[in-house]
Amino acid sequence: MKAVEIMLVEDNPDDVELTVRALRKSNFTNPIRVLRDGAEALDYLFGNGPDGRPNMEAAPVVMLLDLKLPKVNGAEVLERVKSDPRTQSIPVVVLTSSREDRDLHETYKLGANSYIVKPVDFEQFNRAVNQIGMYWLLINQHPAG
Amino acid sequence: MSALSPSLAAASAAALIAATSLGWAIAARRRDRRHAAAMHDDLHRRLDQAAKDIGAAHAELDAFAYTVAHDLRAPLRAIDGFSRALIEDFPHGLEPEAARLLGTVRRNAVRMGVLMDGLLAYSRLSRQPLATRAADPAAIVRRLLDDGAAARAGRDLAITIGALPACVADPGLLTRLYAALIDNSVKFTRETPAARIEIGSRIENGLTVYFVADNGAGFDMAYAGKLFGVFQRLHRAEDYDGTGIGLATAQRIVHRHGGEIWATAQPNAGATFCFTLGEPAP
Repeated sequence: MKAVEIMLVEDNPDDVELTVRALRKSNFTNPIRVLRDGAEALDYLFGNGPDGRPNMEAAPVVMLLDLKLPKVNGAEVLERVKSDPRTQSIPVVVLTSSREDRDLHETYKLGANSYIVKPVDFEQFNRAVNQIGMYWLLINQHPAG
Repeated sequence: MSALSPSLAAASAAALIAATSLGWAIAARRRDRRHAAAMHDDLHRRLDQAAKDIGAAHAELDAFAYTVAHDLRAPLRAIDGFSRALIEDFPHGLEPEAARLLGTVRRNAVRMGVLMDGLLAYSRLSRQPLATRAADPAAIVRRLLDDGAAARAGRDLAITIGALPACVADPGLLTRLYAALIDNSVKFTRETPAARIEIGSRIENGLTVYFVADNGAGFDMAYAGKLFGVFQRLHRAEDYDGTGIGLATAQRIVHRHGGEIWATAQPNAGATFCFTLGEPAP
């Protein structure tokens, strides 16, 4: 098991709590690393290895990414992750409040693996998080590495 | 220099007057033309400014809608989520009345989410460009009725489709227009025994008038002015659920096509919704 399996990039602490709660309620005990903005997420992936070099040991099994983030926004994080050969195979699930078409188009163009609109209804939210976990942590086959 | 003969003098004076007045006329015309050109320039400037203002207003509306979509949903999700967490984590600590009150909080948060989605979809209607082409209302209506068949299962409801001539319209928007009108009729015939919905058209003053008519709950024509307003409802929520966005959406779609929409009704005898589209069929 990797040290971090789920990377959750989300600035809103309430949404963090609800997402973690929904994952735990669905019996996913996988280690979760929460990054609170885009800069922190990029730092975590690309800048925390020994000698300041990227440490791909830190790469998660799946990244849950909010779009609207302080400093570096979600689209920029996505672009960086998907354009680097070392990180581009990390599945990125965009988890956002926005159901705007332009966000959908842009994120898919940047290489997002999935786009989920966070429902207001908590039961639906629970179901969505449960399905994300089921699919990306259990069903989906991932290249070893 | 020899003196001019009187007649010549008179003639030249007349010519001078004529020339002068012609000069004035020319000058006046030049002035007019300059004036017209200035007015033209001014008009252009004002049109440019208006176009810029409209562009800015659209951009603002866009930003506003985006904020509604993103920033207002997060707190709503927190209200619903944490109310739910309270119910889950303290099932025995909460008295039944406390659980009921929390349920009401949750129901309202979810309803506000639905209203916001409706408002957003409505605002998107005016932002998206109109993609008009030849459209087939009959095919659109048949598809909508097929899609909604399961929801009408078991109801005593007869739907007839009359002539629906082809038209020039944005097919996606025309679909949403018919969806709004059909949903409306299906909803308001729910309590009607032997319910009927008729979808058809007639020619009025050379224009095709499309209509959706039902024999359902109808409404008092005194409130007809409120019919197409956003979030306006003519029925109590406990009688007929809804967001009050459907008919506002229908009106905006018709207006974007340069047409008219209106309704006639009688309480408990049904309602008929009619609309025209701006351009006649090719």
